[in-house]
Amino acid sequence: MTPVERRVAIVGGGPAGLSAAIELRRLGVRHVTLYEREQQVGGIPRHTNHLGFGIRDLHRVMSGPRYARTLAERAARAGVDLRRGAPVFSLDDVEADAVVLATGARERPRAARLVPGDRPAGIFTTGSLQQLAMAGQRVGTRAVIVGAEHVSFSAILTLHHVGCKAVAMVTPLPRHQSYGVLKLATATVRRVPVLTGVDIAEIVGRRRVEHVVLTDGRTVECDTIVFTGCWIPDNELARTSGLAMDPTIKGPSVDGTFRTSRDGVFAIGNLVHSVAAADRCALDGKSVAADVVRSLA
Amino acid sequence: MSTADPEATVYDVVVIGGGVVGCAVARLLSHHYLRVAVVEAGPDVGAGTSKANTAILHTGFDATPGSLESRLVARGYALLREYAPSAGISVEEVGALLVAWDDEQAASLVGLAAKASANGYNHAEVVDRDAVYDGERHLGPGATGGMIVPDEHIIDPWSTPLAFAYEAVANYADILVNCDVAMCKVGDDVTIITTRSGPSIRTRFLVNAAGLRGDEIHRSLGLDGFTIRPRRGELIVFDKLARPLLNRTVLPVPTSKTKGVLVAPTVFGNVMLGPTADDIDDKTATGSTRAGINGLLDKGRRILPALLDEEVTSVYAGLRAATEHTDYQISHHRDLRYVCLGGIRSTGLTASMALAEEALARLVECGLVAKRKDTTHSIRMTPLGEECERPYQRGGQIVCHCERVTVGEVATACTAMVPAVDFDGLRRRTRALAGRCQGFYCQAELCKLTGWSLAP
Repeated sequence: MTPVERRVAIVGGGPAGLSAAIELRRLGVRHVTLYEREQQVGGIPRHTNHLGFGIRDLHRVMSGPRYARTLAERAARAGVDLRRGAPVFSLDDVEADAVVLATGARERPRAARLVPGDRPAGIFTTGSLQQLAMAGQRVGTRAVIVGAEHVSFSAILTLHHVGCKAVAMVTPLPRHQSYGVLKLATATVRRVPVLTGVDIAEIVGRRRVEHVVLTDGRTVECDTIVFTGCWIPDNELARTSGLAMDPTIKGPSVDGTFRTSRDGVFAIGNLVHSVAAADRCALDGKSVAADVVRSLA
Repeated sequence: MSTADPEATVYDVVVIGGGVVGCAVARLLSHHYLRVAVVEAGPDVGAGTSKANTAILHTGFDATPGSLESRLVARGYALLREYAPSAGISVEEVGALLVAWDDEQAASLVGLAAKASANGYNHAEVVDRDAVYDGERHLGPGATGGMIVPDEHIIDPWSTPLAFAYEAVANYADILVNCDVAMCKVGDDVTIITTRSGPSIRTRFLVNAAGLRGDEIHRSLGLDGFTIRPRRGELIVFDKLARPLLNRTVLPVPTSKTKGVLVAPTVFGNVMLGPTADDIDDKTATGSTRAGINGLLDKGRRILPALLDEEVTSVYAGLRAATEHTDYQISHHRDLRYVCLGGIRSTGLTASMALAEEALARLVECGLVAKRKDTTHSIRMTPLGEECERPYQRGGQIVCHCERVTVGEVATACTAMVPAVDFDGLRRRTRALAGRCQGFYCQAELCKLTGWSLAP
């Protein structure tokens, strides 16, 4: 069998997985099946309702939802077999000569960061916040944002969009970890104080968040807390498949051509970066296609 | 849930408290020709101390021989082990390994085995250091010996009170939620229970299963004898990817105050570390603390070092209804037509069905005539445990991917005999939102499916 007659499966329909699928089809691979556990493909950009997507891969500037839609349409047009609502629990369930894992990453929620205190309603991640905003749901009135990465500043915009005031951003690090211009356009413009070198010591509130106590003893009144960034790859399938893992990133170890420790299994995107921008993940996808084809020869 | 206007009804028995004990009592009473109600202060059953249990079905091997607790745990263990599979409550017979970490503890194991025998449990086996590491190869260094308790089970602590409550409702008991009891006034034939939320409830007989507030109810009837001093237990739940690190529940050598910090698998496939034991004054202080979390992590690092490399899925704290006494505080008062089930601590989950038998026997002593119904309805829930077949495996559309919860399960929870009314209740009925992402992926979708808002 020539490479093009082989079957390639992709697990995960975000920018990395979709881009890999499109490129594999462009290279002539006949059977490219993409498994997406959600009912729609597109991944996290589907819910990121602001500009800044598609720059490096599509050479255009578009919103997250538009970017997700564009990639999904291109994949469908390219003849990718898109399986929606199709979770993959084991690689044994996938019939393919090569598999590309593109299961992405999630933000660590409050518990994973071991933040003590009560367990009231009103605690979110940027991921859940963005989806709620897209669905037109309100979340609260005064929010503290935990973290000062790119995504944290994006959360300021989303909170504004749902009528919730960001009252402070806190990070235990000595400074924020985003572009100055992004901070200027979000935190500075909206007068959100960025408190560096402090963390949340305790969450207080029985039914609803009432305030947070910071590690320097200060109290900030709020009814909403958004835990941002602090990403962890969605590595369950990689780990239960017995792939060698990178202990720092907590994704599968890969070589320069995205090969994992198991023959015929590749890993791309935020499963191995944790975390890069959507367009960089898409470039992984474009790049891995040639490596996959080469491996099938 | 309530079939009639509660104010127009005179119940035969009202049970104060919709925790695992109160629901077990209501379930048993509902099998008799009696008008029964559970009066619960919160919005749901099983939502107080019962939800923060260590989720172990105890043999009672380490109880105080001759105590009420010893007898009721042993009896409750047998009853619940039989009932659980029929009701769809997940149980797993994983067994326990009690580990001694120094020579003094190793020397005490023989005494513990003898104590187990005195409690009527004869399967405990003292083993040497090598056998300890053969059984649990990820255990940290320094173990000096151990004791295997093969019959210790793990159980789904959320489904247990729910199953009791559902079955009680199926047999025409009323579950009255959001009814915070203010006062109980005993009359000649009828006791009037006034609630802070409004309605007064009338009953002939009263059972106190109020848990943390059991002493307040007891005093409001002019009685005394015990004071609840909450003992807070903080717990850390680790990611399911940690599950292969252990086979059995790993216990320390217990002290008089606490069973100590254990590492246990859960029926949901996680690994649990805890609990701490802090005596506190505030009956609502269910928050976790920095000191508690750090203390648990230190202990976890010694017991099962690799556990600390795994992600934490959940941190929570529960309050045990501890008293100045070591044993359960159970009493009945014929003149008041009243039975008190007080001071039930973490063993209450195991003992719940035996406590129900005990309550019924004592109600009869107080003059209740309880005739068994000719036919009763049983219930069966969809088991939530990893060892059971779950709806997603039959092709159900998944909404919560971490815990593989289907759209159908969410719908069922919202229309259950005691329906979920908030996300906490949904979590306990389905596992939705209980997984590693804590809603990162599915929170918005669940809002859409349930129609619930997260705005304050």
